[in-house]
Order: sequence, then C-alpha cells, then structure tokens
Amino acid sequence: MKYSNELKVGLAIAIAVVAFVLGVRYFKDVPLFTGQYDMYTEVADAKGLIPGNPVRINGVKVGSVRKVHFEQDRNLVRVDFQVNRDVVLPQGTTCTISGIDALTGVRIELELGDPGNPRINPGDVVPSADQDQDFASQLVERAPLLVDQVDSVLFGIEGTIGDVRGLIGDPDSDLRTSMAALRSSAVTLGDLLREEKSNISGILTNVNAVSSDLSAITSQQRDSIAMAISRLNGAMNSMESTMSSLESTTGQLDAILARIDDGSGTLGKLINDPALYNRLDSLVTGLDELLADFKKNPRRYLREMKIVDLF
Amino acid sequence: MIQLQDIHKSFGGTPVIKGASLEVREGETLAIIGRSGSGKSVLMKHMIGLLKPDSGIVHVDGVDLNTVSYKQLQMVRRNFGVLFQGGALFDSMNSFDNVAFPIRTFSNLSETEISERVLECLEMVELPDVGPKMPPELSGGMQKRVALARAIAMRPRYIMYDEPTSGLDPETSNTIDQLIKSLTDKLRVTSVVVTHDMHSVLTIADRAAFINEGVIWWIGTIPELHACTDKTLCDFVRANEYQIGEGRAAYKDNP
Amino acid sequence: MSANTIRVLEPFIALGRFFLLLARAFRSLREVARYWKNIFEQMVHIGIESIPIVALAALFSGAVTTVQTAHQLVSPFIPVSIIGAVVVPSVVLELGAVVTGFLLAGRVGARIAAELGTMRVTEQIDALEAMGLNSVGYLIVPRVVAGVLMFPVLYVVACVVAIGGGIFVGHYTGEVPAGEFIAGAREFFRPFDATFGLLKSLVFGFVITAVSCYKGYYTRGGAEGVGRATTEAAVTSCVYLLLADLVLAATLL
Repeated sequence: MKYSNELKVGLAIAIAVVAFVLGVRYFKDVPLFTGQYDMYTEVADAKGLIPGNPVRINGVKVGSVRKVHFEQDRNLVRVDFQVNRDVVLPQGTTCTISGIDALTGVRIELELGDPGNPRINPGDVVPSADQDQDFASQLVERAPLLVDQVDSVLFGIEGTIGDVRGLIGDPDSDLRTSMAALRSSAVTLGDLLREEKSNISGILTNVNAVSSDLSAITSQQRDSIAMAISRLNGAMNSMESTMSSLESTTGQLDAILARIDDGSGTLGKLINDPALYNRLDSLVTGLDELLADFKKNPRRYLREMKIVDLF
Repeated sequence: MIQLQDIHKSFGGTPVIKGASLEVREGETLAIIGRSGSGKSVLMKHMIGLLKPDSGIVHVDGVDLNTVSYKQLQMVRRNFGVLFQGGALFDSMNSFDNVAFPIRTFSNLSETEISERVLECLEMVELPDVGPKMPPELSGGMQKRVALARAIAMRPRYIMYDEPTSGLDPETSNTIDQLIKSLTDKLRVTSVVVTHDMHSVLTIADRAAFINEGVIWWIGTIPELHACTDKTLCDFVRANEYQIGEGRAAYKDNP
Repeated sequence: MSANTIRVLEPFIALGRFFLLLARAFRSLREVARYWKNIFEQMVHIGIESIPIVALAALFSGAVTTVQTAHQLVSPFIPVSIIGAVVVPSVVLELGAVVTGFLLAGRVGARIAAELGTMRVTEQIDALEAMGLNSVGYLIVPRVVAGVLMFPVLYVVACVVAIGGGIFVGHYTGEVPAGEFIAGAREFFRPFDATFGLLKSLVFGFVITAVSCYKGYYTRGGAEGVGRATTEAAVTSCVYLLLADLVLAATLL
C-alpha cells in the first residue's frame, strides 16, 4: 500500500472535480452529458427574461437562456440562448417570450417552421414574432374557424332532430296511445322551462356585468389577458374535440333511434308511455326556438361560452 | 574549526551574550560550562546558525555563517550532528525511522544500505533492538541514545551535545559519558559539549570554556581547570564537587 | 530597543514575521518535489480525514437552512420552489465555504498548531534545521499546499451534502417536493456563485493553514505555550477567515 495516500487524495480530488462540474451543469440546467449549440434572437421587450430561463418547444424544455443584453444603439434586446444538440430548428422558426415574471417564470417559446425547410445554422438569429400582434392574430384566425365548426355541428343536430320528429310523426305503434299522459306532463315541463329561462337570463345579466368588469381589467392587465387568451385557445381546442365527439354521439343516436323505431330495446318499450311524447314535443318546440336564436346570432352564445369557460 | 568572535545576542531586550569569543579546534572535545541560563546553549546554537548573533562573526571551516546564503548554510549544517537536550526525536516516527531520517533525506542509498547503516548506529549507542519502538515508549536515557545514533548517522565532522546528561540518573549519565567518549575516539570528530555536569566535563572534555555574565570568563585544559585560581570558576566547580566525587567513584567502579 | 518599545511594536513585528515566514515558505516551494510524500500525508490528514465531519456539519446546515427558509415563507402566493432558490445559493455562496472553514479552523488549525508547537518546544524543529533540512519547506509548505488543494475538495463535499440534505429534509417533511426545490434552484442559479465559493474555500484553506502554521512554528514556553498556540491558532484562523470572507465579498461581488 505504498501509494495509498496518493490514491486517496487523487480519488478525492477527481471525485470533487467531477462533482463540481456536474453540479454546476445540473443547476445551470444544462443537460449533464449532451452538448448544446448557441442561437440568439432580438426582441423589443425581454419581459424580465434572465439567464437560466428555459427555452421550450410546444411546452417541452429544449434549452436555456444564456445572456440577455440590451443594445442601446439599436434600442432592442439581444437574447443569447442554447438549444440541445438533438433539436433542429428549421427555417421559419420564430420565438416569443412568454410567461409572467413573478408567477410562472419567463421563458422563450419556439414555434418551429416547416420541417422540410433547411435548418437555421447554429449561432444565427431566430426571428422573434411580435407577441401582442401574435395573440390577436391567433384569435382572429381561429375564431371564424371555430364558428364554422359550430355551424356544421348545429346542422348535424338539426338533422337529428328532424329524424326524431319524423319518428314521432310516424302514425305507427303505441306512441299515440301514450299521448294523453304526455300532454299532462308537458304543462309541468313548460313551467319548468319558463322558470329556467328566467334563471338563464339572470345568469346572462351577471355575465354581462362580469364581462364589462373584465374589459376594464383588460386595459390594465395585458399580460394576464394574454395568458387568459392562451388558456382560451386551449379551451377552444377542447371544445373542438367535444364537438367532434358530439357528432359521433349524434351518429350513435341515429342508430339507437332506428332501434327504437323497431320497438325493440328498453327505450322502445319506454316509448309506449304516451306521457313521454308530450314532454318531448314541447321540448322540441323549446329547442327549436333556441336553435333559431342560436342560428341568428351564434357569436353571442360563443362569447358567453368563452367567458363561462374562462372561469 | 569553529570560530566565534565577539558575539552579542539579546532576547526581547535582555542581553544574554555580551561579547563572547571562542575557538573550537579540529579534533578536540570542548566543554562549555556555566550556570543555568548563562547562555551556553545559545552560544552552541550560534555555531550551527540556529541563532544569528546581533553582532559578531561566526566562522565554520572559514565560512561566515552571517553572510552565507541559506542553501550554503544547509550544506555547512550537514557536517554537524546535534544531540538536543530532550533528544528531539520526531515523535511521529519510530526509532529506526528517526535514525534513518537524515540518511533517507540526504543520500541516495537503497533501503537495505540504509537499514545496515541504521543498525550500525544503533549498535554504537548499544541499543540494537529499539528500532520499532516509538520515542514515548523509551526511557529518557534511551531517547538520548537514539538521538545520538541519529546525530551520527550522517557521519558528521562535528557533534554538538546540548546537556547530554541533564535529567538522567548518575548511572545513566555515566553510560552516556562513556558513549560520547568512545564515539569521539571511534569517529574522530570534533565535539562541543554544553553541560553543567562537571563529571561529564572531567570524563570527556579536552578543554573547558566557562561562561559567566555573558562572556567567556575562563578557558583552558582540564589540568588547568583543576589548578584554577579564579574565584567565580572555583565556586562553580566546587559546587559540583560532591557530584564529581560521586561520579569519579562510579567511574572507578565501572570503567 | 527597550522592552517597552518592543511591546508597543509587537503586533507589527508579528505581522512582519508572519509575512517573512510566508515568503520563506513561498521560496521553499521550489523544493516541493523533496517533500512530495509529506504533502500527500498532510492532504490525507487535513483533507480526507475531515470529510466525515464536514459532511455531517454540511448535512445539518443544509437541512436547517431548508426548514427555516420554509418556516419563513408564510405567504401562500410565493411558490415553495423559492426555498430551493434561497437554499442553494446560500449554501454555494456562503455556508459551504464558511461552515467548512470554521470547522476546519478548529480541527485542522488546532492540530497544526499543536503539532508544530510541540515540535518547536521539544526542539524537533531545531533538529530538522540542524540536519540541514529546510524546516519551513518540510513542515509548513506541505500543510499550506494541502490546505489550499483540499479545502476546495471539502467545499464541494459540503455543498453536495448540504444541498442533498436540504432536498431530502424539504421533501420528507413535506415542505417542498424535491422537483420544486431543484426547479427553484435552477431558476436562480448563477454559475459564478459556485466559482466564487470555490475561490473562497481556497483562500480559507490558505488562511487557516498559514495562520496555524505561523502560530505553531513560533510557539514559545513549553506545554503551556503549545496550549496557548493551539487556542490562538483556532481563534485567529476564524477571525482571519471572516475577514477574508468580507474582503472577497467586497472586492469580487
């Protein structure tokens, strides 16, 4: 064991050096073993970005901010950041600085360009998309699209309802015998509906008040509005999917109705109760009215929906 | 040859040596005697440059220790073996390593050669078996003998003894004296013995220098010491007389 | 010079003697190859053997810092990840180096002063010199070099253990989940802090070993002198460590 002292010391120093380097890289949030390359961008407003903040693509962290430097002569901020070596940024990639300083931490979001484009060379600039315009344009772009989709879904619902009406109008089966009972229930249902209508109008008034409050806040709190809008976007996305599932539900409903037509299944038997018909009849009338209103100005409902979603 | 000329030295404002001059001749054994605190050890330490005089000159083989560079001073010191008062064995090492230490440090000998030399030295001080023992495990006399073995390990030309017998019983003192005498004969070295033990002086020294009041009060051969008439020296020697008598008796019984 | 004048000038004499000793040690660095074995021996004594106690102290200081930071965060609007953002820089910048320093001022400083002091009063240092050996090169250089080289190692150990202890305690007391702690630490981590801490530990290593060597090397007055030198070494090391801490912070931050 002639070298035991040397061995101990050597090992300790080697381990310490490795621990130091890895530790610093770990907390610098640099991947411990993979390399990174440099990029930079120029923005008008760094929004409190500091070195070490994350760089993300679609919400996944792919790098970190290295340096934020204000260039006085050009009156803009140069942000140097590093991106993991395995991430390729194609031409057309833009970046935005998002997030709110105190709340969630600021970050750079990269919006990748067309993957077919040649890559942006390491060390080059990634153009910045101006954020305010970006949010607005996103909204302007997406809202009519959504309205169209809502329209087409409503068409589907209308068709279904037509089918239902056809079924009811069919002078076949025990439906007619259950009419009398249905009619008496209809009175109750009508009352109920009226009651609900007043409730709904109350809610709408509230919502109106809230929305005027909101517009007042909006002018003061652009950042949180921007965040709200991004969340609204998410809500719209989920609404899209909800609507598509509604469509498929409608299809299933068609099939079920066909089976009811046959008079088979639980529902077929249930339909033997004439009271149900009455209820359905008045429901359809109410629904028709609602639909007519909806069709006339869908945007009103849409906006309400948005605002309701917000909370 | 070691020459001290008009050495002055003070500690913390208190002068201890006030103009001492002394010459140690080649091959002799010089005893420096004096009362405790008279500056005997201080004078001895000047000879190897452990202390620098406030004024005065120290020459060792013609080299001026005051002006010499530290490197050269180290070279001069390698001609010396020093036995310190308490032995000054390194207590982090066992006896063998203590004796081997200067050899390992200053020579390129192989471990076997070093081992041979160490055993030879330990045999000279009549302690061939203490190699593995740590200094605190040895008695005071044994520590001094091991320290002596270390002092002679590099075959020095000069050996300095700082109070070699102080704190030892008369019998062990005798053994040490005998050892010093036989080493001096065997190794043909120049020795300086700092002591207040007159028995040692009479046994081993060729000449004696008496320090008093910071100067070399008296210097002469042993026969001259017996015949001395200086009152201060006589008082000092006489104060030791009982001890001398004892020592002589012991020496005669145990030659 | 009279004894009184000397007493007045004593602090300056001591300072001058200290720097002359350092200068001599610096010159002796050339002979470092001869004392290679001693350096490794001292590195083991000063460095390796201190790892357990440093780790223990670091573990507790990291854990305590975490718990206390959590205790101070009463507002529900501040995310708990802030705990990580407070604890890691405190450890890296200050606690890691200073806790190690204080601990070793006691452990290493006292040991060095006692060793050298004993060697001085039993004339072992004179014996070394009388052999023609450079006692400064043989005794002081290895200790100071070992201090300067091993303190950063101990600093890294202290940081790793303290942060680890902080994460562990924070996680298992439910104050802050490990992921939040690390995320917070990353958010506010500056690599300069670590470099600065490393530099600090290096300076502390030098200060502690140099001051203790000085105290030990110039010990006077037998066993009592050794005791005094030992105490003075530990206390003076701590004082100069704090002074060095302040000077570094004032000049480099």
